Amino acid sequence: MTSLLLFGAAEGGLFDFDATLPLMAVQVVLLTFILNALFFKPVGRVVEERENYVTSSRAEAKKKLAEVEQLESDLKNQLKEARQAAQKVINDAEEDSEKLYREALALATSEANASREEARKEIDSQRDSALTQLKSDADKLGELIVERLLAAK
Amino acid sequence: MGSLPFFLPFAELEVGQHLYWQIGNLRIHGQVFMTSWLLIGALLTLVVVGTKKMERDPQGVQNLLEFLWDYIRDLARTQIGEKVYRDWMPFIGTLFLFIFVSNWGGALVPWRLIELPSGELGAPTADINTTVALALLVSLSYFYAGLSNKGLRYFEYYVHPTPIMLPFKIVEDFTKPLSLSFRLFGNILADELVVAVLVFLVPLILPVPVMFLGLFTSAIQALIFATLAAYYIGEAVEEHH
Amino acid sequence: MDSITTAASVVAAGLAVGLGAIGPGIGQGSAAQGAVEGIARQPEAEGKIRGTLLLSFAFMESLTIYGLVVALVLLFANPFAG
Repeated sequence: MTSLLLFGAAEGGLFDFDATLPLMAVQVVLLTFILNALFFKPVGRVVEERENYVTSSRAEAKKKLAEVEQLESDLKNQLKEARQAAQKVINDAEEDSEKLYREALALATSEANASREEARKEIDSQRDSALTQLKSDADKLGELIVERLLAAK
Repeated sequence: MGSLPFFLPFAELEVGQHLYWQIGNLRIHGQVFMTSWLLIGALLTLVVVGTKKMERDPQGVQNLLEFLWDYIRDLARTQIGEKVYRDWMPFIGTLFLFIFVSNWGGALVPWRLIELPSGELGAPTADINTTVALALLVSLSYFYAGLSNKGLRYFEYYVHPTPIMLPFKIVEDFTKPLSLSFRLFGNILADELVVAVLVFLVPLILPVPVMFLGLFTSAIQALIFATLAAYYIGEAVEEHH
Repeated sequence: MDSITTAASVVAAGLAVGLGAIGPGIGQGSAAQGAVEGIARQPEAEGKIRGTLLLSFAFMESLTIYGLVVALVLLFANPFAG
């Protein structure tokens, strides 16, 4: 009967210590070594390899990103310089054309002024001569009138 | 000894009966070793299958193994500390895996269908011998860890804040394996008993949630045992200043 | 085993589990209270709190389990049953 075995019997029971204990301990220690060889070492190696791979590729990517940024800023600088050079050329050309325009304008203005001056002088001299002519004519006419009046008397 | 009618239903559970094997003049509990060999075999098969063809992009079983490895490493690292956790990770991991496989194997596999001449198959951790063996291994390993890491300075730990602590620390050395082994033993045995009693009383449906609860406690107990083992080792190697 | 010992063992087994469940019951209650308050205050820490809570539950649970072990000893491996 079960209870016969359980109660106070030399055999069996819940707290029945025997050679199971040391053998189980040995078995667990063996299992530790077996699992270390079969599981912990290989899996650890793979996991750590991957971690290294991830770290190194991340570092590499970072380096490449930095390189790309460097290149980008270089290109930006070049572009800026080119743009500045082009602007300068444009400015120069504009200045040149402005200068040419001004010179031409100045020349034309001075020529026009000169010819206008000449014309005025001509007009003045003609007017002067016309005035003197007129004056002498008026004098002559006056004398004539005086003579006629005197003669009529 | 009189007949005890209220034990009759419990007689079906055959608590405390063992299948004895005689080796020389040693007697061992055969059913414990049978189940533990089967479960260890299953564990090793899983490990061998998973590690057979390992790649950088994990597939199938390798995922599971790597998850376990990572989990165990985190456990060991938090409890033992960065410096020596590598040495003790296999031990902690083996404790965790062995206890976990034993608990779940005992709860999930319908061992009761297999008739033995005496006793019955079940979780190896429901036998006090197994749990005491594991707990004593933990005691030995934390002594070894302390002595190998700090030499005789390990014994400073016993008088650490004040020498008044000495008796308490010495008593602790005995209560640690005691509580470790009894916690595991009691939990697993209680799960098995509760499920068995419920199956006996109400064979349908009702035991199922209790079985799930049992699976949950089994997993937690494996985690607790491994965590405490790691904590004790960590305590032994910790440097006091 | 005489009937007095049997009766005493059975009563003691019941008391061992029953009384042993009181303390951890209270403890688990207050631990759960603390955890719920913690989650309410800091919902993002829920995972960590839950893990710690389960672990400490298991520790408290094992106190009852010690009582259960005593009860099992009394029922199935009674040292006084000679």
